[in-house]
Amino acid sequence: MKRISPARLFCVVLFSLLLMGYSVISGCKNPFKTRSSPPPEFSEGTWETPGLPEIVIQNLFYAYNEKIIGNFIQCLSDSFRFSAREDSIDAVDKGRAELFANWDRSVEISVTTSIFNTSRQHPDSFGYVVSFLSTHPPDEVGDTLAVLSRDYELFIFDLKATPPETTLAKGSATFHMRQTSLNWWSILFWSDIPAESGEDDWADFKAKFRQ
Amino acid sequence: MELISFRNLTHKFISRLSKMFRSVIQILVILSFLLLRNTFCAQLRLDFSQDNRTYIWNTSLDCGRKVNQGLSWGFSSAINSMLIKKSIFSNNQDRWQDDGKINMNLDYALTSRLKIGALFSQDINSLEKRKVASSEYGITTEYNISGVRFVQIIGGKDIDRRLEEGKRKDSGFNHRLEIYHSPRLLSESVTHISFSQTSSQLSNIPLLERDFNIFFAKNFSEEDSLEFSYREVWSKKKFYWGDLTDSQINTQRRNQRAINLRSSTQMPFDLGVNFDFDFVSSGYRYSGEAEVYSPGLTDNFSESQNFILKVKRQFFKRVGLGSFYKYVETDQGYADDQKDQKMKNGELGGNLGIKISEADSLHLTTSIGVTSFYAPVSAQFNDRDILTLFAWGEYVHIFSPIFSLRLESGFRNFHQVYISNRLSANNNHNQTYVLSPTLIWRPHRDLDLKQNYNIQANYIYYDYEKSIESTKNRLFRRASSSTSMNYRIYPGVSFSFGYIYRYEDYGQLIWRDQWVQKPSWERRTHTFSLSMKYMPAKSWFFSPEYTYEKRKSWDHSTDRLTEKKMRKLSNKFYRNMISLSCKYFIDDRNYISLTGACRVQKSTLSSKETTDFASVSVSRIF
Repeated sequence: MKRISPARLFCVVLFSLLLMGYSVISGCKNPFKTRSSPPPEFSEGTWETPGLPEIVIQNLFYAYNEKIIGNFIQCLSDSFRFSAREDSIDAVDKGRAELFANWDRSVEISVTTSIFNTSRQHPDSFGYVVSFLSTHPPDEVGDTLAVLSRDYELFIFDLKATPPETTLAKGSATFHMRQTSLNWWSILFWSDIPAESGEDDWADFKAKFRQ
Repeated sequence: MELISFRNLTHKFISRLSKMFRSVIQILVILSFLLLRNTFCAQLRLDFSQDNRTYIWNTSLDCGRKVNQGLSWGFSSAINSMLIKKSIFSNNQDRWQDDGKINMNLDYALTSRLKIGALFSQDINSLEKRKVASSEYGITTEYNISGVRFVQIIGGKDIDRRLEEGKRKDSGFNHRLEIYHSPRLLSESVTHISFSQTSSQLSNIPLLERDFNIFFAKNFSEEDSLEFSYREVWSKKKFYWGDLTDSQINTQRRNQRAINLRSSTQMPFDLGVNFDFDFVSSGYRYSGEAEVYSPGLTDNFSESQNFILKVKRQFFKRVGLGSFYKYVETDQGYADDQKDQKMKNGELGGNLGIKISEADSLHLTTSIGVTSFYAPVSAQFNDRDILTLFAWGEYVHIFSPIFSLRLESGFRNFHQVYISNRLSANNNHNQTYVLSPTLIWRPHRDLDLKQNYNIQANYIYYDYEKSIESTKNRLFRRASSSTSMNYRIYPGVSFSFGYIYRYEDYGQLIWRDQWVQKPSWERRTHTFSLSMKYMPAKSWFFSPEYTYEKRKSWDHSTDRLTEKKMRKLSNKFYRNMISLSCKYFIDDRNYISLTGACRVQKSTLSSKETTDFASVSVSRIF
């Protein structure tokens, strides 16, 4: 019979202890079963198969205005990045250079979840509507990569203020998209610039929810 | 008017460019004085690219020199400029944005244990009339005693802001202390311990940060290893909030902790087992001076932990079997608990690789997982589960050394379930099927032929609308054929030809004992490409390429009276693109490359568009 060396034995014991210890502390999750749900009360939510890059923009538009995070997440690629180059200078100026740094998929989901939840739970105090303008530069659509630029208007409502205040954030969003075989088109890189240098834009709005 | 605008732009560009290059030239002149025959290395990189309205210039220079046994210096700079030209679709103006960084250091070793030096660094961010410049300078000391290294930087820091609405300046004392130790605790092991503290006593926005790290790795044997790291960061900083003319000062306190564990071992029965664990937590607390606390900032924390357990075994040196279980848990909390969210994910998967014979091999990968999101009672409408099922297979058969077949097939199911009846109308299945065979034939050593077919189908149906004729249930299908040929005529000349035909259709999905598609539109695309690679000499490379694309789209409809199905041409699209790449290179790090492209496209829905692209890159190691 093969003799087990003391180092090997130590390693196996240590390994088993780590595994058992963690399982006891944390527990696991059943990977096969979802929870059940009741029939819908309302019919809301618009989402289409992103077989074309412009459909991703449509899905993003509906997901943002309908505040459905599941539909929004499906617009993002796994290696998603967000950049607001012009807003970054304001962040540096205020001593918060990190505000727009390392803005990846998880940050985008966290920020957007926070925006959607705040708006859904406090409709009488906070709200917004985003719209894309119909005129835009020609779309650059290749075989697996595409670049689409859209000018947008984002109305932000502060209904708690007296009188209620409306802020208009205007700018241009450029979406670099990628097509993968199983996930269709999705946004790989989203860059945002304000319509006028120094004015409010979408990135400023999002950054307020990045803590 | 246009002439004046063009002249202004040209003048502005030349002025900026000359300013930028003046700086680089000044630096090079200084360096040339210092440049003697001793060890010197430098890397220069210049890049320019133009894409539609965006022009980007990137310049970087890194160099350093060891003057003698004790004295050395280093210099690095990076300047990035971007011009976004005025769009005809909006009223905005041309915009210039520059950011740059310069670092300089001088070191002198007094003894083998003690080193002293000086450093200077400057960061510049500018956008039109707004400019933020921050500079750091100081003297450095580095001391080694009994394997412990102490590094200390004492100096100053200035931040100068010039914005349209006014000026603002912060300056103060800057101190940084770093301690490193790498004790040898056990044989065949590596241990690193480090601590650093940075303190910037700026007049309005001081910063204090502490960072502590431990890393330990040990190899018990070839198969058994353990790696552990722990990091703790604490910081307190003040920052501005609001406009420059009406700014408030807030304080942020940050705590971050990270634990990582990687272990692998060989269990009985030749089972290879890996266990990885990660824990990350971060907490932010905000406070402001009396009555200036900004309500937009709320205290928050987040914690995430995950582990992955992998088991693998090889059978008869022909079959490799692996399996994994992955668990992820995150918890995000805010002072306003209505935004709190927890997430739990469990995923089970496996892979199988079989070398059936010398000519046949098979690889299968599969995984199934559920991700659940939980919110507090007030926000439970957002609670949802996502079930993901994934399977992928690849079979390779080698008919002969010059002829082979690869068959790939995949399936992905994505089932989204909202738990509340407020959003459960969005519960849907999203299923994608893929089949893709590829034939590779090399009839001659200079000729490669490749033929690929790809069929994809995407079914989306909503859980509560399967039994009704809902327009939300849809089917998207795609089939394509791709042919490519590479022919090397001479050692330095080769031609490539490619042709892709793609068919796509889209329509409503109706359930009649099985899914039936009611087409809405279809699209057919033909793409031809022809390119040449030419190397007239060892260091020269030219590659012209021509691409032509033709796409036609049809809309499908049904006449309400006659119920006759109709197909109408809705759009025709043509694209011509020609490009040329030239490269002169000595090796991977010394080259000049130029690329230009012109694209003309036209469709029945838009007018003719002509777009130019250009890029220039220079890289040189001295």
